[in-house]
Amino acid sequence: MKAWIKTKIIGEGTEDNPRRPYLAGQRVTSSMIEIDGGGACLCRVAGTPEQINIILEDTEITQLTDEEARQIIKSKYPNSDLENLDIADPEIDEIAKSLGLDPKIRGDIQIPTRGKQVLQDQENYLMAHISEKLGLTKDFWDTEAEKSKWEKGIEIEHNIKEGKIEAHEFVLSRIREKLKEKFSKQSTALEA
Amino acid sequence: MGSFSTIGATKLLFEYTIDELARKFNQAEPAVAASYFDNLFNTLAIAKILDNTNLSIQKGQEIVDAMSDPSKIGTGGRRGYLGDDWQDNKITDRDDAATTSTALGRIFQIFRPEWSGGLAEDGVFKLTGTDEKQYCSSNFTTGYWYVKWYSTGSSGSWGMRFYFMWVDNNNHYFLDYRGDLPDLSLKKTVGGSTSTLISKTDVEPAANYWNDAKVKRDDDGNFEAWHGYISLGTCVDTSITSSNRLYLGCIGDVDTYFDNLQVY
Repeated sequence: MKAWIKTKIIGEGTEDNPRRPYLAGQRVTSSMIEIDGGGACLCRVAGTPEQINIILEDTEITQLTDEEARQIIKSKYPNSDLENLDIADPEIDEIAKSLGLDPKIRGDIQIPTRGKQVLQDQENYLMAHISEKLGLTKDFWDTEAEKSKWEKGIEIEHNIKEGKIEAHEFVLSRIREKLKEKFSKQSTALEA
Repeated sequence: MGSFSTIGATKLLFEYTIDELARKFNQAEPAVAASYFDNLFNTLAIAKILDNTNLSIQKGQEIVDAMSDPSKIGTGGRRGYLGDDWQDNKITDRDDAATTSTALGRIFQIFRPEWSGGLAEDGVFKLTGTDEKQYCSSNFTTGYWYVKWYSTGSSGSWGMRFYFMWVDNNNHYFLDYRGDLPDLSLKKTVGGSTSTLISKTDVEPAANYWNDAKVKRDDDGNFEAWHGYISLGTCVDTSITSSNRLYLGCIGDVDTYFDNLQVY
């Protein structure tokens, strides 16, 4: 799970205790840019839903939307965008492993199809393999897209490659549902 | 390698692409390389260059410049990269380092830099001291920084630090790949204060195994860091815009090896 947050910076600035985002004590992955004169930061965090929810519930941390994050990035770095502040999502790797997929297949993608960063393409690729494994077809994503703000599934994919958390979480939430359904059926079958 | 001392054999050289030709020069023994030059640039061969639409005089001149004077790399369209495979088992008295970033085109050449210390043994670079780090000159500020690293650590602190765009002790970027935590980070030190830009805490580098580390930076200050073929994350920072050196360093009191450094 990923989220945009604005948080304070902690740490003494030494190599062993560097300045870093305050993340409510959660050991999650993160990427940040300093704002407000270096006292705070815009940060993209990624971890399990439980970890991210604890971070978002912290009163010293503010959750931001893609658009709010973009405005902050653009105000400081006009030539950069959402894709330039991103972090690989460990939740996708764990889901992949639970389905017997090696998350290292991310590395199959080395040339970005949009922008200059390869991270978003690698994540999209891994989520596509997970979807295939779960039987979530193109028709499924087209239907889901129509029910929401997109018209076709391919538009969700484009938004993921642009670094939009909204699209990333849209896909991931449906993967989580399908995964829950799959394992629920398996446990029912075992009990029977 | 065979002999290229006849005109007939020289024609074979023209059948190579520019990249292949550059590699042949790069890999040849000095005497063989000299024979390449003799044959490539005799009167008949030059006529062949003039007649060959795929091989212009300019490109031929680039080869000569690239092979004969590494300090010219990156200027006037000459291409190359700073790199090291330590195959000569030396750290000093070596090729001069290419010092200017350049878009890598069709001709490339590895220029082994002079190192401040460390050991070059069995074709790899070895650091054995506690938190030891050694440097070479480099003023690259855009492109890719890549190195293979191997640590014998399995307990206590272990990992590697790859400092790039190092201006001085108080201003530089570095990959801080810790195997013991684990934490693969991209950090910056500005005005003596260190900050974590990217932190990936769920990926564990393997001890006693060759790991790959890579980072990219473009003109706008956009970074992307890798562990192997996997992108760890991206960030943007423009605090530092120049470079004097790069450093390779170990973490803790653990023998750490490096190989195939490439900056391009």
